[in-house]
Amino acid sequence: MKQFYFHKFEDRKPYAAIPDNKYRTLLFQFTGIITITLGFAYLYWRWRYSLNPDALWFALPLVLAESLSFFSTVMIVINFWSNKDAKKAPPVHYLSEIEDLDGRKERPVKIDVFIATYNEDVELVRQSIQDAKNMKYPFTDVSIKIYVLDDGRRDGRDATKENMKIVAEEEGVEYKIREHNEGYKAGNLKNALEHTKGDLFVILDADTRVFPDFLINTTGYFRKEKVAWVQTPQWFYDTTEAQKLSTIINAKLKIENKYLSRFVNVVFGKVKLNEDIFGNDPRLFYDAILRKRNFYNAAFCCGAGSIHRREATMSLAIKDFADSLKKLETDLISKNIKSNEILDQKNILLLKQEIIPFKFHASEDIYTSIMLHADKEHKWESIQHADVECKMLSTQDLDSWIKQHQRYAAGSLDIAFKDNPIFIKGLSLGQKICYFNTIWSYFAPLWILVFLLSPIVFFFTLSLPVKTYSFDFLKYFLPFQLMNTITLTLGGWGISTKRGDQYYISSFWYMLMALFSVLKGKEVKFNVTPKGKHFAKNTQHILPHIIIISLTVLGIIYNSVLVLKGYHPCVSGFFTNFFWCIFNIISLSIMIRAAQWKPLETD
Amino acid sequence: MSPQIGKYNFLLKPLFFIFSLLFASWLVLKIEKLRPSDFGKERYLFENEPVPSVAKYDEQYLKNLFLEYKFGIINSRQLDEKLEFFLKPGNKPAVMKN
Repeated sequence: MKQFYFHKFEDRKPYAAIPDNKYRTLLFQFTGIITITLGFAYLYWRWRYSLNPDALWFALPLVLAESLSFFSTVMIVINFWSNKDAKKAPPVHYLSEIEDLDGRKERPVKIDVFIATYNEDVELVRQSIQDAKNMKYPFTDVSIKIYVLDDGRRDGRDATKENMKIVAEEEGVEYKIREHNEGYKAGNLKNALEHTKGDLFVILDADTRVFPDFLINTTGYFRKEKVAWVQTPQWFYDTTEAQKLSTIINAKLKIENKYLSRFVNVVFGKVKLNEDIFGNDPRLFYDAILRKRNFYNAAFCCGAGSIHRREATMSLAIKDFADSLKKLETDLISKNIKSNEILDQKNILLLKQEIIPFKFHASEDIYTSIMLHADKEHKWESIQHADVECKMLSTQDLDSWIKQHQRYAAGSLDIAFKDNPIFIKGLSLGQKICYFNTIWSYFAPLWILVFLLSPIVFFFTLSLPVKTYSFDFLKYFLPFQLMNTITLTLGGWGISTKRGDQYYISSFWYMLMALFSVLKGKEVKFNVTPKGKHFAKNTQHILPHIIIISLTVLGIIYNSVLVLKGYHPCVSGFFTNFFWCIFNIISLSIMIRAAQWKPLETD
Repeated sequence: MSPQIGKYNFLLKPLFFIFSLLFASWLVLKIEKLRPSDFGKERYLFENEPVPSVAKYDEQYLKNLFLEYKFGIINSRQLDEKLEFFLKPGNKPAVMKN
């Protein structure tokens, strides 16, 4: 059996979902209301009384950035407002348990499992196939078919490529390919749906390894006929382990002297670094953000690890098909075309037009979710399942991480500019807010950039964005910040947000680039995330971080000299900005550490 | 809980939100009225620095002016203008009028 780097993590156990607690929810709502009220009071004071009239060029961008950031806080409070986990139910057996038979003959349900692959190592896919085969189900007459959907066409025609078809045959599962890559992953799934008949289908990526109870724990939700899909948390079981600082020093400096090595161990042995260095752990997203959207029926599909009702997915495709026919007819009528010709054109379209179940888009999962939620006729529901039912691989180098997150950002922003959920009819207010919240979060680099540059501007111009860092500033700012921290802690109770917070700040540059590329109208491409370690040259990615940190440090040195010599015009401003900078530097430095990270030879 | 009270359960949530809003508003009003003197002996932590004498201001102003010139924030023409303004009887920089 081929050895992979992640084999040493096989024993890792997934986290247990945070138990729901109605008193914690009430406390969150109480503190959330206080935070929003204090935030309004603070911003009222900032706009009305605090702006420095002598430096409006500096004061206005900062207060605007603070206001936009506060808007994010309001959105987060709304997102976290309440929890409504769906009621679990036993696995389904017969078709009549999940949909009306409408005169059809009763039969056991059919379940398809799709494993989408493109260029991943065939032995890695083999492990996903084997785990899918190991899924248990209490009813032997329920057909569970596994399909490998290979968009890389590795069926032996190209001798330079590994042979995926042979692996599928060896494992006794179906193998499906198509002769083009139109629609990326969405197109691959569409091709599979055209050739399969399952009432329910599971979507897995090449590296998604399901646990034996996946189907037992998820199919029961489909007893409710409105449920279109169930998403389970994506758990990355290969995130980097914490390393002792002493081990890092010994390895990097190649210390061989045992006394020196022992001394380093005594001094630095307690300090641990580099745990989940790439900030890949998505627990906050799945266990808090997406799970709490169950309350608004706004949990969206994230692709791998989800199970879908075929009827729902196909209904969307048929609706789109009918809409395009209707649009064509309306266009032709408006052009005064004869009815015979309209009929001909409609027939041509009928023959030509394909039925597309998943939106052909780089963010096909969220886009399709929006459209299903907006279906007024069916009123489809989605469920974010709380427990982890599968494990996956995370990006193992900064270059891959950036590409993956830029695709998420650009995909979501592209939807915002082309088909903004705020204006889509059929979505409820809560759903609109939740989808908008996802999109809004990708605008964050705009205000993060202002927050990163403001101390530098102060250090080198000695201009203040506020009239003064006075008692009034403290009395409005501190209670708001304190309550904000308490509220967010309650919202993500039991989940560490340290790395997530750092990456929220330090990924500003790549998110900004994604925003600009969408604004320039560039097509969002579907980049397949590499599964494995690819230590590309990462230095280019951290240049903006190095520049900002260097300018900040220079500013601190320059201002320290001024303070020590007694020439500084605003000492309180210096200290306020100094502490602000420490936070900025810690946040930005995580990306620099991630760029330098490689497993130690001792690992 | 008796069925008589139970039938008013639907009021609990709205009452809770109204209470939360009222409490938050009361908190804002309290914060607005806060003064450094409310902190008793620790008020010095929040009070603005004591206003220095006029002579001290003069010295500091000149120091800052030369420092700005030294570091290129103002040029020689601006320095000249500001010095002229400073030295003219009756003309004092804004900071000294506080």
